[in-house]
Amino acid sequence: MAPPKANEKTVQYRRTHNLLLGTRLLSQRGTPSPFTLILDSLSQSSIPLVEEYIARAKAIRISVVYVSFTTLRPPKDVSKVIKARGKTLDALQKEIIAATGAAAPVETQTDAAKTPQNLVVMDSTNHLIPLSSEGGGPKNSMNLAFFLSSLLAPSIALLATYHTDIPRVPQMATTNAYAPDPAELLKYLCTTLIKVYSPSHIFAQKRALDKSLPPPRFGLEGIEGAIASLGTNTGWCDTCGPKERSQGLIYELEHRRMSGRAMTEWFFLMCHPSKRTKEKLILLEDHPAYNPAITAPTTEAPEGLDDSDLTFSLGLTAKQKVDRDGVVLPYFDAQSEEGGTGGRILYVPGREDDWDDEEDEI
Amino acid sequence: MSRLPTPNSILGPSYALLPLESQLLLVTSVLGTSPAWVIYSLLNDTFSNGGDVVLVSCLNEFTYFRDGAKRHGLDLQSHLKKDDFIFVDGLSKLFLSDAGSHGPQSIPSPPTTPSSLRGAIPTRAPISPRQQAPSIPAPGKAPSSLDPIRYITLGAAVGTSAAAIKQLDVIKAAVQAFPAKTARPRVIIEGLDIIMSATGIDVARIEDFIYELREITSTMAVLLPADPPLVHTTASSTPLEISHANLLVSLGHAADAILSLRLLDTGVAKDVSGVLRVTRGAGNLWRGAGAGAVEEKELLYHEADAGVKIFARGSGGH
Repeated sequence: MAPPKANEKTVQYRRTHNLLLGTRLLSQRGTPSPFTLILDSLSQSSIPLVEEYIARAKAIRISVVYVSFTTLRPPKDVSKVIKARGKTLDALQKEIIAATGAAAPVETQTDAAKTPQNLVVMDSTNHLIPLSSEGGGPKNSMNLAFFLSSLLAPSIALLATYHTDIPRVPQMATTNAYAPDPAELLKYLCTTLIKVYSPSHIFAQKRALDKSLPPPRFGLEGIEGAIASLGTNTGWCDTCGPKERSQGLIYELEHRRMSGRAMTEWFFLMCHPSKRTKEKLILLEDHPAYNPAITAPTTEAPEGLDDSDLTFSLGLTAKQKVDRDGVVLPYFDAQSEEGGTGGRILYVPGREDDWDDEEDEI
Repeated sequence: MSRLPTPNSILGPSYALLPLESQLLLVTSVLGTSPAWVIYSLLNDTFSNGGDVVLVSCLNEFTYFRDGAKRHGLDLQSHLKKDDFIFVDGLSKLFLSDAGSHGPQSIPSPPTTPSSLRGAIPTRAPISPRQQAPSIPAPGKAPSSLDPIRYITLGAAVGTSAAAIKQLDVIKAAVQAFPAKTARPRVIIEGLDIIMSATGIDVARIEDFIYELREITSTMAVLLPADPPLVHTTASSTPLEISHANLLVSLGHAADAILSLRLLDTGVAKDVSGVLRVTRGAGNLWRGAGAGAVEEKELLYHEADAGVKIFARGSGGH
């Protein structure tokens, strides 16, 4: 989806409400979201966001269970790693429940019910789907929806990534032609849907759209033969080095409340906390690279004259201003000295004037 | 002597190929660009650091690599004898039976699982019954301590996903054949798509195999073609095309770096062989990863008899 247009009218409201909700979802505090699905692609991986989730979970002592299909080097802050490769869905379900079950008795405290005690992170649901009965898994394998709902106790939050650009190998005969695609099912089941984008790609598209140009295409749709575009997984920051910088990304978040009302917002997850708010998460519109108007008030010329598209300068340099102030215009004489006393004519007669003292008078 | 770019000059100065981390490089190419020089460059780097390496190819025989490497000043033949290099040939004996090596011990029932044949090219295996291939089909003599050239032989396993994937264990055996060192061996695999399409092995199984292999290796480079028809799948794509795209993109999601070779966008030039684009993969993003950051860049490369030059656009390569 194309990035949204900056909207001055609603940004103030969204800055308070949506940003708060986004931060609470990221920190898993206050607003519960039992199943968060992150959609990513080759252009931008979900890993920086997943790491942010894990880091914040660790900060409030939520135990993190990492279910690894493809990750060989899982992140450090994880309490338990479950290798899911080659297992059946039943075995996986038992193992995850066993890993998360240890914290279950704490459930009795009703106040803490809003914050989960376990965060189950799944690195690739693409590899989960073929195990289920919808994805054409082995006979008598579990239903994907059943598997997910069996995991979701009130003390567990699930964070799963789905790679949108991996085509699914069709399974013959086993699948019901009328059943929805398993990926669609996941999108339907989740309570928070996140799509991640590479900042440099979004900014390039925004710049093109601002000039009414067709937006550039990236990733697999970009140049033939190159499966990833430049700007992939690089983040966006002027001050950080390449390793830290890549922790930044843009994401589009859709949170579905229990009431059924959904909130959609675009966020920018920065690689370092903002100096002003001490928070890594800002609205996409509050990022100066996306919305140049954010920084404009400080640098704008005082005249308010929009001369950005002129080929010459309408303004004056300091020296020109001083010189202009130094110029004495002729009528200033009249006002300062003899002037101001009446309508006298100031005239100094020259030699060629035929001056008559009696008639002529100054 | 050799004039090959080092991995650092390709992947950025801060990125290191570490001895124990399971790093994955995905090298994609299109028709008209040969990724062989990337192989030579990795081999050269491994040998100069005293590491072990297994090269698997289902597209070319050993002589192709020997001759190609010699042009760049790399003597692969001598490394075969030095016990730090094993070549696994997945081409010359892929469809041959290995029946000659051992007597017919058991005659398994012929493969009759059509469901596992989805998308596979119809097999051309001889019809004569033959034994189930052993897990390490070293033909002829019993394998010496370090058999430098090994062969993937499918034999009767063609068409049966489960049996065929076992034949790939020859690669694992090759990796484990090296004497234990502080650094794990590296593996370079070319033409994995041939195995997948010729044998009908499920793409998921191939992927699992790669992850198992990554666990016992340090750096793994997978070379796959990324021509548009193989990448852009539509609803009418064949299972083979979808499997290929699935494998390519799945590995792209796990890779530390994606190296894409393509032709010059503006046409053919005398002093430019193609464009190399290096992008960061998700595997390089974990904060805890010991290796430095892969530096994304786009370079031109020129492959000549004197070696391979990589240079920035506009710098002319001089």
